[in-house]
Amino acid sequence: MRNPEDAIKKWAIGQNALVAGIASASDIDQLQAEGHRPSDILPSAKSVIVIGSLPFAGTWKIPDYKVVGEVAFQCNEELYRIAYHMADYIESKYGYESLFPPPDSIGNWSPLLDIKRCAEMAGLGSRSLAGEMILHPEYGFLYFAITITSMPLVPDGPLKDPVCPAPSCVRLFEKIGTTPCMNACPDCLSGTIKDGRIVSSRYDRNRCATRAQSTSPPALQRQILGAAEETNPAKRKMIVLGDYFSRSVKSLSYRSHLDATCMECWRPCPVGMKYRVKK
Amino acid sequence: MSNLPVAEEKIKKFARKNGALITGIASVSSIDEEAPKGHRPSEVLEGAKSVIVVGGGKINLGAYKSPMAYIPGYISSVKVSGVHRIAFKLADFIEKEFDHYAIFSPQALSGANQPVIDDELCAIKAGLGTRAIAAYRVLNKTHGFLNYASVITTMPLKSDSPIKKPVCPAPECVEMWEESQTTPCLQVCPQCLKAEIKDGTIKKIKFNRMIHESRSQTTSTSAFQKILLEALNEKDPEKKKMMLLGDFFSRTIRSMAYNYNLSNTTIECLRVCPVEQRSYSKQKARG
Repeated sequence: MRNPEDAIKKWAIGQNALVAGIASASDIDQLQAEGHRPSDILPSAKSVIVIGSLPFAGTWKIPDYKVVGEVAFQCNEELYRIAYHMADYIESKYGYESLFPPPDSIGNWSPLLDIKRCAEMAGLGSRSLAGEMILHPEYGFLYFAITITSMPLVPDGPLKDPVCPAPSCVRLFEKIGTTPCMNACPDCLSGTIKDGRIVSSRYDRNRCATRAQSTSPPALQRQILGAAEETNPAKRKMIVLGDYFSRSVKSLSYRSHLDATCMECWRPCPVGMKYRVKK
Repeated sequence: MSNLPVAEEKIKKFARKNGALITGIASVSSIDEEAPKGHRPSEVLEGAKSVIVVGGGKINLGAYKSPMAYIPGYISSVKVSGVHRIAFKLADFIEKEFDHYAIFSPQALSGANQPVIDDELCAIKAGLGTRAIAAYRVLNKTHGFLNYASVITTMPLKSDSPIKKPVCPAPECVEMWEESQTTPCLQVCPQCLKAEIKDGTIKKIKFNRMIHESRSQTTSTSAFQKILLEALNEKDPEKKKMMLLGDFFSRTIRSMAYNYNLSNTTIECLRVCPVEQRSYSKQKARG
């Protein structure tokens, strides 16, 4: 009989996840801040199962960057659906408490659980220079979703060798002091590579948000503040009924263009490039 | 009419296959009798004859065990979408298979907190459960508290009968009431809930939705409106900025954007219900 680790991964992949990995909840607990640990969410947590998938390759051929973010976001939603069904699957098949933790933030920009950390600890990739996103050795950048469970499972553990920087990026850095991702967005990203390894890495999340998430919830908050502070009634009317405010409200209503609408640092990464190219 | 029992079986089988735990059928006239004007199935779909109610989307036991109060509510909101999807598919199935008009019961609210159609009233009329003291929710004997969604159709179908013996109060709750004039749900939230039990049945029941909402739906659309009003009325520009860019307002906007934590963010009165707890015992979940 197949072991439960394989059976769970096979179930997830059968539901359309591309990859699946298992991390130990206590290992993640040690690395996370209080209030953001798997055991803070489910006290009996023993394992964290992480699933990942790629956006459609066609996403990269969309010329309008706003639509890129929108299409990719839908792929993410599909992954969440699999993760919450996985919680049901584990409870009904194995009888262990399980849950799909909310992927949203507690307050401004602080996710309840760092999904990227969980993916790293489940052996699904390592941090990259591109926005500190997790880079899978085969597929490159993936979206991730998780299920926390009280079921004790053998963890996959983190990868031994980091995926980023790729050999071609190391060569490029040695020649001109940059990589494809840093070259695409030198304002948000910076980093240094030595002996083929990342020595320092900086991702300016606040700058990225103001540029790539221009119709996100914080953007709407900014506009509401702007309208509230405006003393000229005609100008206030223009702000509230104008195109930009309309787009932000529509984004909120239709759940489109809420998150990353740029992804330019992701696009030139050589890892997993073949999966982003079709006929 | 001779083929109707087959039709009902087909409809229920389809719902089960698509993830419903239970399915029941109610006549539109029986719901119309109790629902207030503007909230009757016959007002939503002209010529409506039957309402099919699907129940499912039970919260994971893991979510119940989470100490973070908003997690069960969040999981519940995710699960509700799943039940709506079943009803949506079912409406499509009825139109294609039986050539009758069918619509998925609208989930929108008409005004503040007034659903267009009360899916829980439909569930009661379809014999899926009875009202509980806990938040006036529908309690099913086997599955405890479920989420419900309805399909309204012009197809005449044989109705299921409402349950005669109320599921709530459970025998242990009756015993507790006789000893201490309270029940597990009343005890856990005495502000929102009030009730009286006599001879083993509920005599009076009150669920104060307004108190409940201000406590458990702190990131709902109403909360957003309240904060916005306060911020607009704030004279101090620095305070106004703090309110509009602060964590609390951010959370309410995110809730709307991602459709999370908009409704129940605490279900403490459901958690302690013995019928609800028994519904998980088959699962033998291990912590």
